[in-house]
Amino acid sequence: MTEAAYAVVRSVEQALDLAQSHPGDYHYSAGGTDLQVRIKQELTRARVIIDLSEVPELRGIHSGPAGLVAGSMTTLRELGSSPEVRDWCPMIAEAAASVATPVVRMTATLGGNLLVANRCSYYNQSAEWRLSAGYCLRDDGDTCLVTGGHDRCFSRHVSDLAPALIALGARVVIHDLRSTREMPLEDLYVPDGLRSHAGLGDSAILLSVRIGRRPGRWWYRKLRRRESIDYSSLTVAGARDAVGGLRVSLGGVSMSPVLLFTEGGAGNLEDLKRQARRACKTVDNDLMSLSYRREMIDVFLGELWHSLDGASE
Amino acid sequence: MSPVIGKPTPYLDAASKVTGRALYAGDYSFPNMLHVKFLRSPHAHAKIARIDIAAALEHPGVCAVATGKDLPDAFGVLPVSPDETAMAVEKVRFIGEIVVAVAAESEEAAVEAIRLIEVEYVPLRAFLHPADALAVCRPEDQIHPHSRGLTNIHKEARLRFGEPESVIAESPVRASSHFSFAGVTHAFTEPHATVAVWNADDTLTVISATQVPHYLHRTLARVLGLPLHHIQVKKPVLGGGFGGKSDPFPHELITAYLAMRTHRPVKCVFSREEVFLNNHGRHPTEMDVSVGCDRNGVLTGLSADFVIDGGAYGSFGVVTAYYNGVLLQGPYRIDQFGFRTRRVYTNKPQCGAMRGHGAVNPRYGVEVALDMLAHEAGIDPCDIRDRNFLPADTLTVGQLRITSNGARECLRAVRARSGWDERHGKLPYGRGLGVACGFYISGSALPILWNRYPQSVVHLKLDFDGRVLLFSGASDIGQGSDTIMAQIAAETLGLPLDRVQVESADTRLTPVDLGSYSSRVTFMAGNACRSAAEKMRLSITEAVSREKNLPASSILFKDGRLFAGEQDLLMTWDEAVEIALAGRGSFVESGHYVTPRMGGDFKGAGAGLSPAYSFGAFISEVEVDAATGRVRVVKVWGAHDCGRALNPLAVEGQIQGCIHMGLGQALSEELIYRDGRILNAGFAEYHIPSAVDTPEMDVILVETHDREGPFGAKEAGEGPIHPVLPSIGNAVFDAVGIRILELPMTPGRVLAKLRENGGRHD
Repeated sequence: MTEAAYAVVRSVEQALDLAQSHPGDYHYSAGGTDLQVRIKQELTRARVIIDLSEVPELRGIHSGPAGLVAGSMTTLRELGSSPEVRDWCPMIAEAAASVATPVVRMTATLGGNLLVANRCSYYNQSAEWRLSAGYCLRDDGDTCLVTGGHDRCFSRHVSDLAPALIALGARVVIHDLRSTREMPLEDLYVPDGLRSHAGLGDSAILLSVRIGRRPGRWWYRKLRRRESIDYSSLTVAGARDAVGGLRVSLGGVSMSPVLLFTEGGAGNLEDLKRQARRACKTVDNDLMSLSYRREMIDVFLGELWHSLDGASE
Repeated sequence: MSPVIGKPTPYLDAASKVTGRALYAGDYSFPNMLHVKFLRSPHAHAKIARIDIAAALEHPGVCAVATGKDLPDAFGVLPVSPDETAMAVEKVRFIGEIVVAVAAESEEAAVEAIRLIEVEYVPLRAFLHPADALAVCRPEDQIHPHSRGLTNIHKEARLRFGEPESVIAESPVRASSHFSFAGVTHAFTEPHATVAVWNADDTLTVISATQVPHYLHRTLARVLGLPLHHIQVKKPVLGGGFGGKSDPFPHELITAYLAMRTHRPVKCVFSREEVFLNNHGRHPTEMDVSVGCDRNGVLTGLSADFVIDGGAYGSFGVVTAYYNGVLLQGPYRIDQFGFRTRRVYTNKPQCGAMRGHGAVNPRYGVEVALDMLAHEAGIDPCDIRDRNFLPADTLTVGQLRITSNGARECLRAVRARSGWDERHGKLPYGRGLGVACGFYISGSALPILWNRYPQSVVHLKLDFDGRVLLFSGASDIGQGSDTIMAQIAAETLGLPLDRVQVESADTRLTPVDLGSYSSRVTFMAGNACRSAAEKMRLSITEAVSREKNLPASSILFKDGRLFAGEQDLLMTWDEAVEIALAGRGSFVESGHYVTPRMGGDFKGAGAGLSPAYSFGAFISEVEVDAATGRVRVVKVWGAHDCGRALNPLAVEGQIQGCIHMGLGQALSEELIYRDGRILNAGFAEYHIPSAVDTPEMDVILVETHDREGPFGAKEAGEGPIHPVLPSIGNAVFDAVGIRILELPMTPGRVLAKLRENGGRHD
């Protein structure tokens, strides 16, 4: 029987050891800005918290031949104000600065934002609320309170850095008990509200994010009711790569970040919108209306297309 | 004399608040204290079949469990509608209503015990929309058996003068429209909190975050069956009310009851979610309004019909129903006037008083309708308003007594400052200016309790240390009333502010003030204070006059000294005090305020009557993104006639706060319910504007020196909010040619309107 425990670890190995000895019963804590709310709302019953804030390998931003590399424990404030990041690609700084509030960004981290738990207006509620409303599919129940279905959870992926970095072709370095490996950021995610970060693997830790090449032109916008605080109701990021291809990623409107891709110079706006409509599984689980968010997907893609039109650089 | 009145003065408790020393209700702790937690209804409307508290009673740390039958006596802030009980007795009427209370040694033990309680419900038909509540239903379905006929209508208020509908129909220019307003909440920083102590002498002390210690005092006596003189209610430092803490509440009664039962102190602090469930916010409203004018824009008539969604209980709702209509009698002259308000019960957390009380939504409708008239008649929106203002010293059609009136001065000030004439109607598409005016009461002339007492009493005590100790029941809820009263006393006695100390809102020590609502405190407690201070000055003058053999009329008080004539320094304040106290020691002067008789003698004549009204005019500049429907308020110019700004810092702060609150309701705030359950009971999901969303504000104070206000002062806490919302709505019309008829004007609604309008409008 595990007692509740809070452990501040000093190395990645130490963290993995602890995680392995409490399978399914632990959380890594980065900035804690999402985790603490989830604990307070009793959305998690994990009893062991593994605090990564003292692990040196997870910090630091540097650029070099391998590209721009940022440790997963880089705070959003550091990301937003880093001269290297601004030099390499200002979109990352802009995406970081669009998250929550200045106070939250002092503690919240890159890794934490990429791995922020999916959200739904019927799930992200207090324990009392959920008891009163009846537990949903993702919670202790068997029915999705939004759709009435029993098979699928549509909770939304709300990371703002994910679409921005996916559009930039970012790759992540992951370390688990067996190995250290690198993979495209988008492979971290699974379009399923119940296991949205399954690509990470059990006990694994996200070490760092790498952007191999400087991008060409880019476009980023986050849709929310206020100009601060709010989670995304839609985030769209797009960037041209070296050969004129366009990578567009959408957040906030599906269970995982959606990636739309066109080859160098090919494709058109209507095509992109069609791709988006097919790929985004958007349901009425945000306070902003479903019809409005769907409409804004088209509006944002339109503005993105016109902004990034023309030859790549 | 360096002035005390009219000087921007930081609040007396400002330093203690910002350094964290101020003690709010939730900061109080007592030895042996218990914590109370609540089991709340999961059903919108249901009979309670069975409650099993056995397991909870057995849980370690639990000391007492209370249910509805322990406190069955009904109460309500208005004597005319006592329709709620401390806990649900026979049935529950909204999701979140308190059913059971547990007092335990720790919060955790209380929460665990709550989860062990079993309640069996038999669901009843739930009325979630006003339209359903208006209709006839079966008696067994009614939310309250006392509702009118076989409906769920709580109250119908109406007044009518002349034949407004036919006059409007015959007017050369007419406008009418339907408006919809979502419910909004006060969103004060401090959650509700109460600590109750059963004293060794078998008296009860209740420390609570309340705007109305006097009403709480009376209600505690009634519901707990205790004599009034055995109860003490103290309001500590309070972090915002805005009408959300202006009723005696179930949690206060329960906490006090548990203290009485266990003989231990009991503490209750709400979570933010519980604050939302407590609600008492602005009533969601459906409004139909018609107005008419002649070709010169002079109004011929106004007719309005309201349905306001009151939620499960009455609160201030009867007053709200009247204020919806009566406060449309100004600031314009309207001789053909009629309104009807129906307040309905629904199975949702009840609505109550919220800043601007009942007049905010109607003001929006009328100001937009006025803009429609202006547009159709080809008259500038500022001009049309200027042509219709009531004058000073007049009676409205319903015999509301207007005295000082700075409406025109306010309008002209914002018109000039905003560059209205050069810019309105001339800005590029997507950018616009809008104007609106408003007026509001400085307290209600008729109190809600009918008795022979004054509306406010202030005692001033002078003692040998030269300190003037001010006793007032008035509640400083963060609006700075303690400071205002100290300023009034200091000014009257020619003292620096630090000579006056304030003891307020402790029913054991302080004389009755009815409470901080309807913007009554500066005017009423301020007048009572002035009266007491003048008597004290007279008393000191008489003693000094006898002592120094000088005519009383020659003695002046300034800068903490007494003078014989303008120049002749006579003595210091402390020397005067010694003379005044000689032979008798410390003495107390009492001042009070009662509104002079006024008003008509028809039914409903008292509603909206006030000894003075504030007036205001606001202009907003907006930017509308036609692709996304997003409205951004760029700047707001606001002029408010507060009679006299006793503390300009406070008045500016109130106007700025009103702009922020009005902005929020106009653009982004709404309580969202699904099947009677609130979806956004927290500040991440309930969208009050952040600092980044808040526009630049240009605030203008207009002073008309009201002859009855203390030093000429009138209200400034609520009046400034009324014109804010419609000035934004009207600005959107100037920017993109659409009429916003539904609030909040979310981007989705704006986009839909733009599409309906067929795109660009010129």
